[in-house]
Amino acid sequence: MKRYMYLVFVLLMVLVLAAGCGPKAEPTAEAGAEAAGEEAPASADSSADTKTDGEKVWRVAMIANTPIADGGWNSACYAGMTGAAEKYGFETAYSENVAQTDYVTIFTEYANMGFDLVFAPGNEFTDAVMEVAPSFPNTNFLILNGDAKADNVMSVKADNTQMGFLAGALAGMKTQTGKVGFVGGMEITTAKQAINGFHQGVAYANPEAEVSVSWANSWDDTAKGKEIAMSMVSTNDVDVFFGTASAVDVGVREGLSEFENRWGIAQPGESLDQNPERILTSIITDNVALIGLGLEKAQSGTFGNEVVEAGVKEGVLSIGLIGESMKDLEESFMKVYDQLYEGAITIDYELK
Amino acid sequence: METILNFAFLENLLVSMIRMATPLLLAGLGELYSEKAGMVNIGLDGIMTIGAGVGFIVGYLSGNPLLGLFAGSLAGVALNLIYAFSTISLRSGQTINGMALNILAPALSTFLSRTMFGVKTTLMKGATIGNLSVPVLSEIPFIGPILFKAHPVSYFALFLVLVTLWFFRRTKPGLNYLAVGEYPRAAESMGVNVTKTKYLSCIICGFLAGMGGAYLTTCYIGAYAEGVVAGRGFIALSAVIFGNWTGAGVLLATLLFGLADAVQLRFQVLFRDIPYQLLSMLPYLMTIFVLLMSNKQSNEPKANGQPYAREGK
Repeated sequence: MKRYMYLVFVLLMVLVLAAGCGPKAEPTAEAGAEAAGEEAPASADSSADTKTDGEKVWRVAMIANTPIADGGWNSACYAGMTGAAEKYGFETAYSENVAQTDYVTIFTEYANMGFDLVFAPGNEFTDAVMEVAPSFPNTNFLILNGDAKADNVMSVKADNTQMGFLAGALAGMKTQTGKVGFVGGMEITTAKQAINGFHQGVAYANPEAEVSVSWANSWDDTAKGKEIAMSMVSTNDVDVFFGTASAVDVGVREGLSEFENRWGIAQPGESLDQNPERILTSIITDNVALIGLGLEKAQSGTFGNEVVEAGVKEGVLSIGLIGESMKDLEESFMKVYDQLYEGAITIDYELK
Repeated sequence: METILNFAFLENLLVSMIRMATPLLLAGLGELYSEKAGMVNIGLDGIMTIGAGVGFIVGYLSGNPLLGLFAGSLAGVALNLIYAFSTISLRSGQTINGMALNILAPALSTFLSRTMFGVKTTLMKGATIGNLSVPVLSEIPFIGPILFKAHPVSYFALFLVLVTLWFFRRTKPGLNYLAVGEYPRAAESMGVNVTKTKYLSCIICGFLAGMGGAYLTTCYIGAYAEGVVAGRGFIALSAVIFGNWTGAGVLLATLLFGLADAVQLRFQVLFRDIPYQLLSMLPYLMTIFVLLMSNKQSNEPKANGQPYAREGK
């Protein structure tokens, strides 16, 4: 029996280790050094703020509530952070799959570890940030898509309404059945803003067109995305799709491949190569520029008390590669884009 | 209402129901075999996750989704052997070990896929196994597209239901197998190798649940997103209880889940005034409702969940 007890003990140890690497990875100094990876050589003791030559090591940490490889929102944010970090010479760390109940804990731990900047990619983190921030004046908190500001809190947001408008205008131009669809992950503010813009964009380009909205109630159930697309096609003859549901969108576009003449519009990264025949284009959010703003301000000491909103005009929103199936519409669509750039189109930002 | 009460709508609904029920049915049957031998495995979701991950990786790298499906099933077996070893040979708690699989598998699967593909802004796309179309029969209006144009894996799952019914009702090994779950000591005294049967049950469970997961990434959608299983393992687990531990019951339960989900997705599009949160609850409300209506005698194996010690300690 003793031998068995020993085996059970060993097994438990292995499982504890596995759980440690699991979804709820706690932020550790090693994680920081590890994630910094190729760009910055990790110092032997990464909890120290100085390298041997006395130069300050800037560090930024990101917290995500889904995997950072979700092929959608958090992937784009993570790529944005690492891109900006490379530009401004930051070391990076991240915690993924963090449950809502752990937001405060994880923020506190990063702040305790002396990170210069904590990056919260979403408005849903605002409450947790505002709770933690006052206790750590030496750590700056950057919220993406938020509205909060304080001495060490700053929000930057991409103009989601404009993004929705661009997609809506394109969908309105492209549709042949007069039915376009929007697939949302969950009904959060950014999704509502995108829908608001989408409705206006469709109405701008094609007042006759009808908009269907569906919610996956998930960010990563790709299979459900496929099912949503197929149900929208079969019940309502929707032919152009746009969505802000991360990995679910991939499933949506997969569902389109089963039918003739159905198209999708992607966001927030360049996605044309995923399905070149079915994707019209991608509405790209330049997260490097957006997040870089926060990193730059943190370094120059001008961080805080600010909400920056950036869209087409600021160069944060742009149009990706044009797919084969929208070549004929490219000119008229770019005209809309230019008008938005010049401010010739006014969008109603009020959420109903 | 005329949008709902027409054949095209019903046809689509039923096709969608079968498509969505398939992974649940595979995993549910796996759990059925497990529980019939007295092994409650709540790690079903974890097994599906590793199946989905390994299935996609192998399918993508080899360019052969069928190979991926098979590899995913084997990965499920490998993972479930951890559970089998600690619950059968070491006689530790089944619940805690099942839970361990649920924690281990997503991490392992994520680790593997990131080692292979790194963290990209878009998901990798692989090939998928397409639908099978039975000649002539699939041309029959309404019935054809539903029954004769389905996915080969769906047929396999349905075939398994028949095999299961036959195996447990009509064969001697099937009855011996049942005895292990009902009263292992008596089975042992009649010369049935209880340990071997329990291990076999775990291998079957791992294989089928792994296949259910791999179906998602090699047949349903050719992409692996972390979290793609999305709790389907737990739904399959409840389908076994809901189906009162019979093959036909599991089939009905998973079809009902599939139907409810297919209905709620369509209602979201058709009835825009109903809040989507209400509609998303539909599959679960339906389950509770049916459970309330049914008051049959439970078919649960008597020794389900209990560790078995040969020497009687």
